[in-house]
Amino acid sequence: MSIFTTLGHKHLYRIQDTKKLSMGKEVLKFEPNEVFVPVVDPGSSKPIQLNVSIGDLVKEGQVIGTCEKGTPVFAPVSGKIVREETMFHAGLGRNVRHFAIENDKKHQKVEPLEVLDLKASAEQIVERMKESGLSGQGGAGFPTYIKYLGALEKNIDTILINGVECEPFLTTDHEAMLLHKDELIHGIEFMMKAAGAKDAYIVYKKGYPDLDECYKDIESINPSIHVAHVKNVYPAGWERFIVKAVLKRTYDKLPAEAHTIVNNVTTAILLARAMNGEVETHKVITVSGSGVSNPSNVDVPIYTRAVDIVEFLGGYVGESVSVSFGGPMCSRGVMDDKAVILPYYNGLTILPRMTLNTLPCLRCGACTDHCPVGLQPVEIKDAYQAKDSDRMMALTPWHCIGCGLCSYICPSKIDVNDFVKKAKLMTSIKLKQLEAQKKEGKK
Amino acid sequence: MNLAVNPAPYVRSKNSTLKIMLMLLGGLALVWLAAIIYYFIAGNVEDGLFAILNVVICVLTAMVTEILFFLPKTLKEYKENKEKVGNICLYLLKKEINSFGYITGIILALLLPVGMAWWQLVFTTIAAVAICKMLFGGFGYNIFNPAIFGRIFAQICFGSSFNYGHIEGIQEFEVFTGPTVLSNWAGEGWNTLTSFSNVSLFDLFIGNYRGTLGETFSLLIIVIGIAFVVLHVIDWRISCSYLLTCLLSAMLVGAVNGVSDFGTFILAQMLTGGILFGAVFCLTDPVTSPTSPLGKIIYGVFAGFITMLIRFMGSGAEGVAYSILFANMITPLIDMCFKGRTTDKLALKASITGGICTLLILVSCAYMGKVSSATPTYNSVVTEKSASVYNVKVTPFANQTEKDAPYVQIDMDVEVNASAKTVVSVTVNDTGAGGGYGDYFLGVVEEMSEYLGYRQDKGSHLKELSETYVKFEDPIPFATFRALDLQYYSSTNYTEFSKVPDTIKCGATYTVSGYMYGINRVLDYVEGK
Ligand code: SF4
Ligand code: SF4
Repeated sequence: MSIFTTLGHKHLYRIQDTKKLSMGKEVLKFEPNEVFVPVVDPGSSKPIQLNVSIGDLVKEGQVIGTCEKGTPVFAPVSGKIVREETMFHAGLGRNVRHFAIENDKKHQKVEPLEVLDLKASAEQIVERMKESGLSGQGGAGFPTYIKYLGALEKNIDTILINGVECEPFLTTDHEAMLLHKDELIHGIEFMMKAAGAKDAYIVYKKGYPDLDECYKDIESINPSIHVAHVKNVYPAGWERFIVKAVLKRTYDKLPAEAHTIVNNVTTAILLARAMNGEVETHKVITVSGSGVSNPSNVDVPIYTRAVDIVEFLGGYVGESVSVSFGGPMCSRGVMDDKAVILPYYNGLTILPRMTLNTLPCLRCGACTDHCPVGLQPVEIKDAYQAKDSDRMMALTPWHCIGCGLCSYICPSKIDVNDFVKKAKLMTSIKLKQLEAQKKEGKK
Repeated sequence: MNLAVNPAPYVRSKNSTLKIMLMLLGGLALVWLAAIIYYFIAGNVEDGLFAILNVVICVLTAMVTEILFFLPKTLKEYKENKEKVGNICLYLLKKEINSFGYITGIILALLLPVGMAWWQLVFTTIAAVAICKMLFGGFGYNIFNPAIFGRIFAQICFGSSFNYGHIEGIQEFEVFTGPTVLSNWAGEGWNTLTSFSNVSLFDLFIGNYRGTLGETFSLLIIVIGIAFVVLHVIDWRISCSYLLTCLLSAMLVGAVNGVSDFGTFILAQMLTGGILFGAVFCLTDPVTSPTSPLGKIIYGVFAGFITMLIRFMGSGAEGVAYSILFANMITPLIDMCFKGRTTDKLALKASITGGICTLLILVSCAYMGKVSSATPTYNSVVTEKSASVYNVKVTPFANQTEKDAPYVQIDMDVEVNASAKTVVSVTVNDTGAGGGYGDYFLGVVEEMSEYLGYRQDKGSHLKELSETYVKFEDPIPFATFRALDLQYYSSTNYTEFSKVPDTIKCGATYTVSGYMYGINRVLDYVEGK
């Protein structure tokens, strides 16, 4: 019913295919001289529990600290912790403490964890997810084990493996699916076991014959793993969209309500490795966009500085660029390219600075028409500018998933998304108060 | 390296407001081109030149007006930062290009008829742009569609003087909206198409008749409209809901009144009065329409409803302009009504919309019942005053109630030269009561005098003419008609006249038809003697 609402075909906008820049290219390997491990919890930004101190020698994969929720932080390279430095953290958006590790490039590894095979119990798998620090690779970095805690009681019947990667430019998931098919299947099997699911779907976009070719025999390998396609549009990789497209189910807050868990393909691959005892120290990221000399997929240690990677690839193109961790649609641009690659980042998009000819809002409603959650960004913008908090509350900006489509589509080149974000921030406090009142009222 | 920190996303769609507006301009230019061609072919060279000049005048005035509004601020900026502004003329021009005054100008010009004086055009455009757009804060902040505002402004200010305002040599009684096919039709009663028997349905479709400059080219407008929808220049919801509402109303009127030729009735209703032009170019103006999808539909339905209400209950042809103004007025209201997400409570919303539509349709059913269904007839009594002078008293709409049409009786003396078979003079003793009589009649008289062979110099003063050949006893408040009305008199031999059937073919409105009818009946009488 796209007549009365916006959840029709129209919001799924075909964003020009920018993936060719890095797709199919050889994965380059890069070993920086130094990596910088942030010693704060990426969620709460509180300092982590440190096991090491400055001057210590660390090995690749050594636990150097533990976060609040018990997830460990690993050293990605072997070498000496030379100093502490305050640097910009792209996830938290501000400066925090980092440990600089001088890379001796000897790849001295710690003892791997015990190998677990499919006979492992669900609890063991979840425990391994936790101790290997596995986090969602879709870009949000949500610890994976939390999704599986108590999953057995939630009646999960299907696991959806998200290989949609709908952001422009990014190709790491696509490449990983081609290169690591066995590990992917293995990881999915563990996930199904951990959740007690009967089926799993690998979901990717239509129009990729190489993937079709690669996965056409999937059901003969494991009859309960299937392939499903979604449209080649943005934001088809949004969890809610995938659940709806593949399972025809909707939910309110979490996919578990629809008896499903959605995980990224790379998460599944990493899980397979974690079960094999390896922890994530290196990762392949897409460095792409017209602002970098040689767009490629690069295999780097995590916690490598963005600026080092760009230099390795021949430096920036042009005078002024925007650098964002992740795709260009929903990730925030950083002010400082010395920020490091966090374990859950899958790309670095570098684009020349946009010169936008911003005009007054036309009130065309294109933003409302394209918002995948059905918000009315233009109305939210107006309410925000008029400082009308009642109207803002009525427009429920907290539903925004930050997909960036509203700004993308705006013909007047207004940063509508930014206004929605601000309104979201302003209303979230009030919303919490209201919810608290409601709870009290119930009591 | 200079790192830019503008907010995400870092890719933006290639579409832009400027692009949308330029496409709109392209569509309007096509309509303009059609108008130029039509007026050169169907009219004379002057008509054609006016078709060109009208648009040029309006566009230039609109642009200059906006630039004048930009000037103070620009000068201040220039003083503060010379570098940033650079060439001040270029800077102003750039501002103007992004303010789209020229779009307002061209739409306005296409909404006005050929034959307005240049100063009237200038004045109208300034009023539209200055009052309706710039005083509200410029592009994006106006509440009313400036072009529509301009059209209504012109109609109120100059509606009665269009005939005389034209530059010497243009003999065109095509007046604004009044004499368009629609009002002829409205005047004659909706039951028949005979009132514009000179204009066929096909003419209506391709635009082979006179109206305002741009609104007559139905086929072209439909094609452009479809192209616009495909190119995302306009929102299909607005146009479609508007046109559907109009169509439904027309069908209901047809059904309730049992019109003889249903298909023709419906088509002619949709093709006249600028409904299509409004649906494609005016109503869809994004600045003055709601933003939410459902809001757009409600907006379209509302405008369609008002259009038809005015058409069937009111004066007829101005319906589109007024309805758009009304719809603009409720736009903020519609926007305020849509809270939360557009996906919320879908069923509820759909049923509300459905409810509103049904309600509107029911209401329209009720008002349609009032539309007179009978073909109006005219009664007349001819008495011989002297050998060559005959008195005739005409009662138009003799078969209708007071409510349907104001009671009117025309009393005039017609002097006939029976041997030469020409009308010598007409003296109007009484124009009767009620509306529909107007200054335009003076124009008819002028034209008529010419045909009657009494007019020597074109520039002679009308007042004199009217005093000499036609005498009015009543003040004449308002009337409309067109040159077509007089074509039967262009023949020197009036035996032709008597072929005019009882349902007046040549009348523009019942007023003028009344006069024509009276003269015709005198001629019948003389013939029959
Ligand atoms: S960024 Fe938020 S408001 Fe904008 S389109 Fe995406 S979900 Fe809607
Ligand atoms: S897309 Fe841009 S111009 Fe259109 S309504 Fe939204 S904010 Fe305004």
